[in-house]
Amino acid sequence: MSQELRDAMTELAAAHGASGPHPDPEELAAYHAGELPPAEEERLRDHLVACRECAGLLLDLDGLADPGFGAGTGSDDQEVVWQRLREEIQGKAPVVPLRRPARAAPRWKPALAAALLAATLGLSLWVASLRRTVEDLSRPQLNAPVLDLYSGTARGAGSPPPVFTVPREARFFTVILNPAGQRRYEGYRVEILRPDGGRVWSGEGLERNAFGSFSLTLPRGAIGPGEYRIRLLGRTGRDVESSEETIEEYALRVE
Amino acid sequence: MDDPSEGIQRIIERLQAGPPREEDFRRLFDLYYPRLVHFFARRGFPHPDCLDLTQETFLGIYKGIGSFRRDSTFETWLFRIATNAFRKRLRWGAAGKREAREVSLEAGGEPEGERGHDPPAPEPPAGEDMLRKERGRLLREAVEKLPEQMRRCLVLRVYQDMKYREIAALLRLSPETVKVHLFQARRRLREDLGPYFADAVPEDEAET
Repeated sequence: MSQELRDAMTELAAAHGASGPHPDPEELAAYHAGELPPAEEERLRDHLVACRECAGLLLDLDGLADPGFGAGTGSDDQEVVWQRLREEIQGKAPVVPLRRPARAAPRWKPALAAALLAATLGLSLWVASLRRTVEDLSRPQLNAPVLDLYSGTARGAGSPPPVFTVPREARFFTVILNPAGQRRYEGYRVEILRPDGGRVWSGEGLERNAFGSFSLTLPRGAIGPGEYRIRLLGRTGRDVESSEETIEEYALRVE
Repeated sequence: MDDPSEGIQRIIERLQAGPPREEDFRRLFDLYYPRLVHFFARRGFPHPDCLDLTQETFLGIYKGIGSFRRDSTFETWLFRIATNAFRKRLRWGAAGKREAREVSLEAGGEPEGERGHDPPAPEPPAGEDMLRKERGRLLREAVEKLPEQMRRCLVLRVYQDMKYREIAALLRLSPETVKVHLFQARRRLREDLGPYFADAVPEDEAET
């Protein structure tokens, strides 16, 4: 071959080879398999003509599939390389299979998850409601309604029960219980009863004030609108188990 | 007798099903070890480097066998791993060369810039050089005028010293087509360039 022609080709190859970077192995393999679009194929063909490295690689792709490629090469070192490889592999995690068989999830798991979710939502709502109540109760209230209550006995027979109207915006109200008698008891308790006798609220530890009456502040939410009886009870003995007797009953209507 | 490709297929299936058995991997190793060592040797690496790269490629196979999807041949997948290993090694080599400073032993460790220059090679006479450059330009122009596929065949044959069947494999043509392209390329060049260039475009040498 003439050196002159070879030199001309070398210069031509250099001029064409400057057209782009080396294609990656995926592109080379795709070209080899005829899977590249025509424009890409042409570009890669020009690169192969100018690039000895890529041309050689592509030719050896066929070689790797040929059992005769490199026959008898480096057989002396084969066992050494295997042992080295084996040592390196023993420190590695096992190969992850391509399609690991999926394990069926137990049926109780979705049910448990749903139950936990519902419980969490319920608790959240309850906590929110409690927080609202605490905030309501913590707010001070100006001009809270106060009602002096006297028993029918004290006001005279046939007197209508006093009507106590709790405004809607009022969160608390105070009742002052004025018993008719002056007898002292060891302890006092109060009950709020519905007309059918059902107990709505009960409280102990009342103290009689200097005027001989009892004051009691209640949240409006504790009793809704309706007719009620407030029963004041006195404990006759020191012992908590001692008998109680009704001191007075007061009629009350809440609107 | 078993079809070897079918045997490889079964080995790969078992390796992918996991956990990988050593005897399967050993069988794969024995089959492809010589081909890989040869593959790297043909890239111009010294023998110890070829062994390292072969080991590295097998390690890549072991770690990645689960991701081999079998939409291409195993050899194509192997080629990708081996080529990536080879190119990575080239990059390392290039980086190493950039970091190292070459020191001449003869100059006693003196930096190259401080040493005296070798006497320049005698230049050809000015007229001769001009004539050589002009002939080169005319040759290149004549080659550039050739049809694309013909030109590619000629460049691969002359510049890369390839055989017909290699050119054919590379350009995905038949060897006969390559032979015809080369014959016509030489004839056209001789016609274009005239008798003055007869020695520059000799007949193709017979392939061995």
